[in-house]
This record gives sequence, structure tokens and C-alpha cells, in this order.
Amino acid sequence: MNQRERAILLAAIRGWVDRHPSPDTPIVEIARGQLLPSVEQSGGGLSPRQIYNELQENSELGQWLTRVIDAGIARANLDDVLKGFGQ
Amino acid sequence: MRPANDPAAATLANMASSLTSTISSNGHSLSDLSNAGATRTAVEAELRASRLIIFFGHGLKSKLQGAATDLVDLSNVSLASGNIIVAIACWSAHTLAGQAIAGGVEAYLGFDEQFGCLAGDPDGEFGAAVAEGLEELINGNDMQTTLGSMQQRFDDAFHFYKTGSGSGRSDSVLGWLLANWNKIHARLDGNVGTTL
Repeated sequence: MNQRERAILLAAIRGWVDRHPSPDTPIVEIARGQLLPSVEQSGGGLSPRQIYNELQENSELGQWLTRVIDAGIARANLDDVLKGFGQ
Repeated sequence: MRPANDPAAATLANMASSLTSTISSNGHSLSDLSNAGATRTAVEAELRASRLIIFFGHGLKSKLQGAATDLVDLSNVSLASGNIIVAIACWSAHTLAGQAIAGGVEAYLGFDEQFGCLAGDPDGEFGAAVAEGLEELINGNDMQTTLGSMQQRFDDAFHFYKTGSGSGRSDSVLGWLLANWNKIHARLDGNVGTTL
């Protein structure tokens, strides 16, 4: 993703969080030891809001999420990812 | 080995459930170190004694973790010399696998990045990918076939969430992104042609 695509993606995910019925409930689990504090608090899970925040902050987890999304874009395309987040 | 020491580890532990009957029905004996039974002492005994060691839980580049201790790390992985290790966990194919092979472990199947799934694996798609892959090994096929089957089943999960009956879920995009990710990062080291 270039900077413009990343901005579009973040806006889409922000909208997805705002519309999500359970924005603070973990929806993704990670099998990683020594979890970062934000994830450890929820037992290895990431909520929609955490996903947005980690991406926005470009934290270690945010960088992982970016890699996951980049791999998905390479397999499909950015429009499919945006559509998945409700755009 | 499935310590189930937090919700994410519990989801992984549940992925092992369907395998227990497959293992037994194929005439193999099974030692299930679950929950508090997954201690370092018990794990080390199985590293020595079991032909196949399967771990479901949290991992880092050089260790597989239990509730309050590391269960397998660089100092004890070679106890499994001559045996096969499979780790459904984050990262362990990065460093631990190499040490395992150097220490005489015959083959190591793990992930060289973070392993992720939808919380609780609500559709059973991630667990099916893991289980159907491992069933190849339990049924007598080799490690390369096992890896290929697991990757193919993660591909099936990708399609389930992207265009199949799972595509209507509100979080389906995360399902296909993570299934694709796990497929890409499954890695096999050692003797790829080995069997049980």
C-alpha cells in the first residue's frame, strides 16, 4: 500500500469500527507468546477498535496487520479489502 | 500439548479435538497434555518418547509457551531428536525449527510469522485447515503432503470467507485475510518426505 491507499484503508476501517455492533469485543486471536499489553488484557484477542488503533499508531501489531492486509491485496485487490470493510 | 492458558490458546486447543479420534482410530497411542497438565516436565518426557509432538498455543521465535513457563525452547527441543514436531503457534518456524533440525529432530512444521484466526474460530474453518492437514500425516502420508493439504485447506477457508457461505459475516474480510496469511506462512523444515 502506498500512503494514499493506506489513508483510504484507515478511513474505511474507521467507518467499519463506527458501524460495528461490538467494536470492543475481540474478533481476532493471535497465537503469539509475550503479547503486547493491549492484546494481553483481552487474552490474545484484538477488537475492531484495537485493530484500528494499532494500524493508526503503526505499532508492532499495526505493522503485522499491515502485512496481513498487504498479502490480501496481493492475492485479491485493494477494492476487495475496502469492500470487506464496508466501503 | 495444548495448554489453553488464555482465550486465544483455548481456541487453538479446541482445534486439536477432532484429531484425537483420528489418532486413536489409526491405531496410534495418544498422550494429551492439556490445560494444567502441559507442564515442562511432562512435555520433555513426550519430546523423548513420542514420534509426533503437536503443540497448540502461544509461540515466539525461539519458544513454545505454557501457562507460566516455556514448554519447548532452544535448550530442550533436541530432546525430540528423531521425532517430528508440529507447532500451531506464532513464529516458531523462524528460529526454534532450525535449532530442532540441527539437534536431530526429523521434521518441523510451524509458522514463520504470527498465526491468527477469527476469535473462537466460529465457523471451524481455521481448525479444519489445521486438522485436515495433520490427518494426512496421521493417515500415513509424508510431511510435504501434510503441509500441502494444510495450505490447500487454508485456501478453502479463504474462499469460504471471501465468496462462499461465510462471506455474509460482518467480519468475513478478516477471515479471508487471516486464512491467506496462515497459508503463506506455514513452513516445513527437515526431512520433508518423512512419515509417522
